[in-house]
Amino acid sequence: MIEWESVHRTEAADWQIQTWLTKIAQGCACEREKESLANWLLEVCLYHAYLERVEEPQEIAVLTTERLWQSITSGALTWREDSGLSGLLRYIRQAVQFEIGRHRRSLQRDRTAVVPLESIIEMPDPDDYEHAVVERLDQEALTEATRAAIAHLSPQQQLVVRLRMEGLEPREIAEVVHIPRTQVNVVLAHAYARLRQILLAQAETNSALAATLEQVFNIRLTTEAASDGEGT
Amino acid sequence: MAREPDLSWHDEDSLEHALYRYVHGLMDAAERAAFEQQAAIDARIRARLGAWARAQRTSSYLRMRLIGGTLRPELFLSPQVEGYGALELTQRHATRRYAAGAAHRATPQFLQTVSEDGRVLLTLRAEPNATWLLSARYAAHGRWEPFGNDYVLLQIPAETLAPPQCLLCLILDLDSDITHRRYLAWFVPDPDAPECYVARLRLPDWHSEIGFARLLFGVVDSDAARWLSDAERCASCDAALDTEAQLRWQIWEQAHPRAPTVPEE
Repeated sequence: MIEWESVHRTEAADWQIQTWLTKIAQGCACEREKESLANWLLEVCLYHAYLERVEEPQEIAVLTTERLWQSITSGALTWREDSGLSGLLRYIRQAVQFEIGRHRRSLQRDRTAVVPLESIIEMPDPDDYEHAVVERLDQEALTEATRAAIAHLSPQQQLVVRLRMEGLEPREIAEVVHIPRTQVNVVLAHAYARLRQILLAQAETNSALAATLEQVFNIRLTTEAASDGEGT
Repeated sequence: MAREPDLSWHDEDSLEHALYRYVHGLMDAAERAAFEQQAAIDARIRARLGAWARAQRTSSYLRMRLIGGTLRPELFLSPQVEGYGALELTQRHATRRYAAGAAHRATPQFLQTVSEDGRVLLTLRAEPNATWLLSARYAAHGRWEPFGNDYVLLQIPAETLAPPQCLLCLILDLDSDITHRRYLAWFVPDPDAPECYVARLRLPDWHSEIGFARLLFGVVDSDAARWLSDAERCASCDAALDTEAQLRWQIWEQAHPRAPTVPEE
């Protein structure tokens, strides 16, 4: 029963995109339908642009949306029954990747023309790994221990904590995981408490980890272990 | 018997389609649970979920509009935007403002409101020289709560958020619902409240042009500056009160130079 509902919802979503594309091709779409399709395209383009970690993701997404729109209005891009939504998503992904290449070449050309010579010496050296390595050394033990400790959390806690570590705000996690905003806080709070407990236990037998906890977070093993029992 | 969810994403297309269905709430409970379990151990899925979250965040303030048959990007605000709030300004407020100077005023000299999520406290203060001082205080460690006629900051230690980047501020004509003005302000550390960030603008008078206005505000990424017109960016830069904010505009302009006209090869 639940599975049928899911299938039905997916088909309805496919049908919506199909309807918009077909109506535009037939010239009978209203302004609102056209804008809805354009905004759907923009969201998917934004997704691929962010995924590719390009310098100007919004610029790339808007440029790609405009190009796809031209393809739709000219009749070059239409709904295809044999490939469906999956095929359309692939087409959009390829269009974004194509636009990234085009944009990169265009930027390089512009920068060659406008960047003053003296600015070049201020650019970071891509081969200078020393700074990055030194910065990461202190936290290496902690990162390893945290990674291992996360495996002890529940699947939902693992997902929420890892998304937070990816840099997502609680609000964004709530939207993408479809749980209430307040529940994200609860999940995080429980997960952090559990992680803290596990890390402190590990630090008792791992001097490098204990030193890092003290150095980076000013957490001393003896006092923390004592207060841990008080229900942090 | 219920079928086991199919998690064999054998290629890029099937994984992307599964992600799309997950993010748009098209999976049933069993499939969702299985997907989340997989996402917790698969970094490439999490990276994609992160990209979807950023895309949805951007879509909450950037949209495509058909203007004269041409598709154009446009900044807008909706309750989905972080720190979203609204303030209505009627002729009544304008009259009050023009009444400023009286020794005892029963009318308030400023208007205040808090965003729907409690993160942003917006104050609009009438200045004697027909301008308005707007300040938006963002609480990264808590929420603004009403306390009598005032607002107080309630600290929520477990909820520290990343520093905000920019405040988007739209002034809408209530009669026509058309966006009359668009400003972007940079958040800088608040010198008066160490736990807050503040965005401050000196807005020119708009009551001579619009009778009934609605001011919408929300927190957006600095990338949003790209979608202001040149005139809107200039007006935003001119309206910026803090030196640091003015400096950020200069840096932004340097990082986004106008592309010179280069002949095609």
